[in-house]
Order: sequence, then C-alpha cells, then structure tokens
Amino acid sequence: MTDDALLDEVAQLIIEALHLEDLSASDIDPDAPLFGEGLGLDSIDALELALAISQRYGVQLSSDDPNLMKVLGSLRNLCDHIRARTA
Amino acid sequence: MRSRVHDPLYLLAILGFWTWIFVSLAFGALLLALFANAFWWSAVTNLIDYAIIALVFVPEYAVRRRVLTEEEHSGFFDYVRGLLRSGLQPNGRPAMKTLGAMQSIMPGFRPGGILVWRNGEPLTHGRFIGQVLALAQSMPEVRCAINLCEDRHLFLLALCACLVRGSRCLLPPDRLANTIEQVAAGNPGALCISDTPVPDLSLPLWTLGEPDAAEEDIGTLPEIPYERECLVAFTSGSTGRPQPHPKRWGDLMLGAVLAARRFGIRAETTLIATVHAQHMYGLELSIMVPLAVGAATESSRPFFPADVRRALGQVPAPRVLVTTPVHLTACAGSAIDWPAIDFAISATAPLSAEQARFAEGRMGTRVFEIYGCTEAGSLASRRTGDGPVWRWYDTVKATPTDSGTLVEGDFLPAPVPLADILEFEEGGFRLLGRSREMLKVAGKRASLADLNLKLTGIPGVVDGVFVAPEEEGLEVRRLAAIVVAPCLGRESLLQELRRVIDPVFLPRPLVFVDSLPRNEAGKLPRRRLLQLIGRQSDTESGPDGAPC
Repeated sequence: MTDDALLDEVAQLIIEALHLEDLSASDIDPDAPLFGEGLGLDSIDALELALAISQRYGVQLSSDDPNLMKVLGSLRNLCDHIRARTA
Repeated sequence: MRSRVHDPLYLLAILGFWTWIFVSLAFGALLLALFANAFWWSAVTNLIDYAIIALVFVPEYAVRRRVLTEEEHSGFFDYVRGLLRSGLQPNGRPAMKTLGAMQSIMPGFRPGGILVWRNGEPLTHGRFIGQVLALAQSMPEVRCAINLCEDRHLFLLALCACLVRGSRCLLPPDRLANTIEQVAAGNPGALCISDTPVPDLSLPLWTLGEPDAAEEDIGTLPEIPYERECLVAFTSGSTGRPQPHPKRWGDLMLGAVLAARRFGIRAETTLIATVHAQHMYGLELSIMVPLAVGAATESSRPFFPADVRRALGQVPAPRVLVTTPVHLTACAGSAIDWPAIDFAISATAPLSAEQARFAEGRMGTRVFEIYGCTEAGSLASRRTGDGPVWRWYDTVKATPTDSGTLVEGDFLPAPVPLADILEFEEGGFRLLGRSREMLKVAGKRASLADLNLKLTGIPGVVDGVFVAPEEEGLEVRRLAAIVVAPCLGRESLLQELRRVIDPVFLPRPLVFVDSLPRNEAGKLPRRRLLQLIGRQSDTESGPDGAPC
C-alpha cells in the first residue's frame, strides 16, 4: 500500500472509530498533533483508537514502547508505526 | 448455583431433626408415664432440639440475611468458616472483634504476605511497613497532604505515612493544575506529594521517589482510631469548586472488608487496576481492599490492552481485573491471548449485558459490576450477564424518600442520598436513571451546572451552555456546548476550557451563536438547544480570529 493510501485509510479509521463524522479524511493534517491541541483527542479516544488499530491491523499500542508519544504524535507517525509493525 | 436439596449434610440434618423431635416426644411421653416428675429429662431433650434447630436453620437465616451466598452455605462447617473469615456476626453486622481490628493501619497484615507487585517484583507486608515508618519520619510536618502519586506502591506509602503522622490525605478528582489549586485553597498549608510532575502546577511539589530497601518491620502495627477522618475524596460538585467528602478510617476498612467478601477476594488474590487510586472506586478496590484483607495490588495503572496483558502476566493467579466499561470493552475487542483472570469488576459507568457477555467470552472470565458513589463508596454488585438486578452489600439498607433514595450501612457514619433513580425489588434494585442535572461521560461524573459555571467563567464568554445530546439513559457519549463569545476563537476557547475541565467533557460539537435561545422565563428550551447542535454544520465555523 502506498504511503498516501495508508494515510487516507487510517484517517478514515480515526473518523469512524472516534465518531468524528463531521470531518473528512482530508481534514486531518497528517503532521498535526492528534491529541491535546490539533485534532483535540483525549485519553478515551486513545483507547478507542488503539482498539480500532488492533482490530484492523493486529498492531498493539503499548505504554512500554518508548516511542509511544511520538507514534501518537501525528497521523503520519502512526501510519509509519503501523507499516513498520505489519511489514 | 448448587441446589440445597443435593447437600447431604443438609438432608442428614433435616432427617436428624425430625427423627429427634419424634424420639424425644415418644420418650417424653414414656418418661412422664413412668416417673411423676420428668422435668429434667425434657429440659435436656429440648436443649438438644434447639441445638439442631440452630445447626440447620441459622445458616438458612444467614443466607436470607445475605451474610452468606448460597454457594458458601453448602454445609454447616463452610458456614462457620465463612463467618470466621468475614469477622461478621450471623446477623450480618461486624463483630466487635472485627471493629477493633479495623483500627490497625493494615488489618490484613501477615508477616510473609505480599502487598504490592511491581514489574514482577513482590513487596512483603513487613517490608512495606518498614518503608512507611521510614517515610513518616522524613516527611515534612503538615496538617494535610494532597496525594497525587500515580504508582500504587508510592500512593500507598504516601497514604500510610500520612496515617502514621496524623496528616489528612486529600484526593483531588483529577490531575488538572486548576483542580489541585482549588483543593489546596480550601486546605491552607496542604503539601502536594507526587511521583511524577504535574504540568502548570503553581504549588510546591514534594516528589516521592523509589524508597530505600527498608528492613522488615513486623513489630507492633501503627493503630489508627476508627473515627479519625483521615482521608478526603472529592467530587466535581455543582458549585464550580471540588466538593469534599471526608472518610473515617474504620469505615474505609469495613467497607473494603464487605467488598472483598462480596467478591471472594482473599489474601492470595492480586488486583490489577486500570483506574486511578485517587478515584473512590480505584481507592476502595486497589488500595483499601489490599490493606484490609491482605490481598496484593499491581503497582502500575495499565492503559492500553497490551499494558493490561503485561501487568496481568507479571503477577501470579488468582488475578482480578478492576476496570471500567471503556477499558474492558477495549481489552475484550483486542486480539490478545489473556492469562487466567479469576474475574473482572467494572464500575464508574453502566456496562450492558451484551458487553459483559462479550468480555466474558473473549477473556475467559466472569464479569461483575459495582454500584456506588464517591459519597458512600461501593454499595451493591451484580454479575452483569445474569440480569439487571443489583444486590446490596451486607449491612446496606436503602429507603425511598420523597427526594430520592437514602442509603444506610455499618460503614456509613450517616445516611447518604443517592443521585440515581432506583426501582426496588426482592433482594435488590434496578437502576433506572440518573437525576437530570448529573451526568457521566466516560465514567467521569459532572453536573451540568458546574460545567456551565466553568464555561461562562472564561473571559470573553458572554453566555454559554452545555448540552447532553442523548435524551435518556445513564451514559452520555460526548457533550455539546453552545456559546456566545464574539471575541474568542474556537481554538482559544477550547484551550481555556482544557485548563478548567476534564478533557472528556470538552464539547463536541462546539457551536457559536449570536445569542442563546432563551424564552421569556430566561430558560433554555431543550428542543431549541438540540436543534442548534443538530444544525451545527451551518454554524460550525466559529468566528475564528474575528476582530473585536
């Protein structure tokens, strides 16, 4: 899958999993922060997002991962993480 | 559940009872015929009759009084064992001996027992008490301390050191700097104790690090008077300020004993909790139960399902997961192989029977729920997949009044009014709903009045109101808000809100309007508010950067 296709797919997954239906995939800036400011997601969203990613890609997010903050930092980092774990 | 009829001891006792009645009557008649005064003989036989009645029917009475579950009452000896273990009298009230034991800092103390598992390493009761006494000596002298520790081992240390020193432990409802400062303002001179930094906090913070490996201390345990108000839990309240709820030490310990007893949590059990130790539910199950009955607690607060799996894997069975519907559903939905979990407990928000059965199937466990509130602690439980009826804890009595339900219990110093609407039925109750003004999002409680005060308290907000979009039901997914703030942009308003309210209450959607649709009485008709948030696509774009 190309980078852009995965970005689009994960953006769509975020919108569906977190009920952000008033957004479209193109509204999510791949480099903007997902949590806190930026998209404004919170810890409950993080849990729901982790579940959706686990179900779709079989990738588990874990607090033990030293890169967790970076992985959840932006859509692009999240996609890189998924690609690295599913490769 | 085993039927009583198949219990051989019970059958034998019943048979013996009737045989004895028959035999004693026959002998009584015979003796009366042979001797003029058979008083002593009949007294002896009567005494034996009473003994048998006590053997057979007292356990039956105990089940009816909910001192014993029917499973525990499979025989007389199990009954006696159950009573001895619980420290309760047959009428369900705590024995005086038990009340005395509640005055210890750790009623569940056993020299070799394990209190905490941390990264797979056990910490014994004796070593823990050694650490507590050492910390109590080095701690600054204060009247009260705000315990912000996230690690359960350090939380326990700070709590118990405060107990030894006679300082009150304050537990704010969240970790926002604003909330902590409000709690501190109400308790001048309070010391903040934490193991991790708190962003934006303007108060001095006493950082609690990993304690030195203390010596085992199995001398006399520090005694804490039953009546001492040693701890204060807070709710967000409806006045814009956290509302304090002081707790007495003995009540906390007794409540924990009753909770442990309801679920069969024993000294061998290890509790793994995804909830904060500062929240009443997390406090009771992951802190007070271990102290009261000598069970162990896992020190971390696992967040993602993979974290929960790791924490479970690092402790021995029997394991009990203490969690919330959001975490339980995420864990059950993840493709993870779970180790043996004795059972899971969920609280803070209602779990549906489907969610519970799904989690039971996927995680190979049993799922129970606790009903309670910060004011009273846990009060009732149910196995969610079995039906909607909740069963009160031992000693809890609920009375319907005109203004709602009042609960009493041996672990409550005074009757507590409940914010929920209950329907009573045989042996328990059903939960019908929550009083209109109170709501819950993702297990966190708030009142609309409080949120509205915080919203309108933000500089630049002329008027504003939070709206719970769901018509009925107990749990709100997300709140919406409608604001009049001509000079504020969406981003800056959200940023200000983030400082004063928990992120789960941040409005989604947030609608900007020129004025709120107040009617002649100044009230806001709910229908009009719902229309406004439904029409959000038209008004979605706030006046970002509007000149002012």
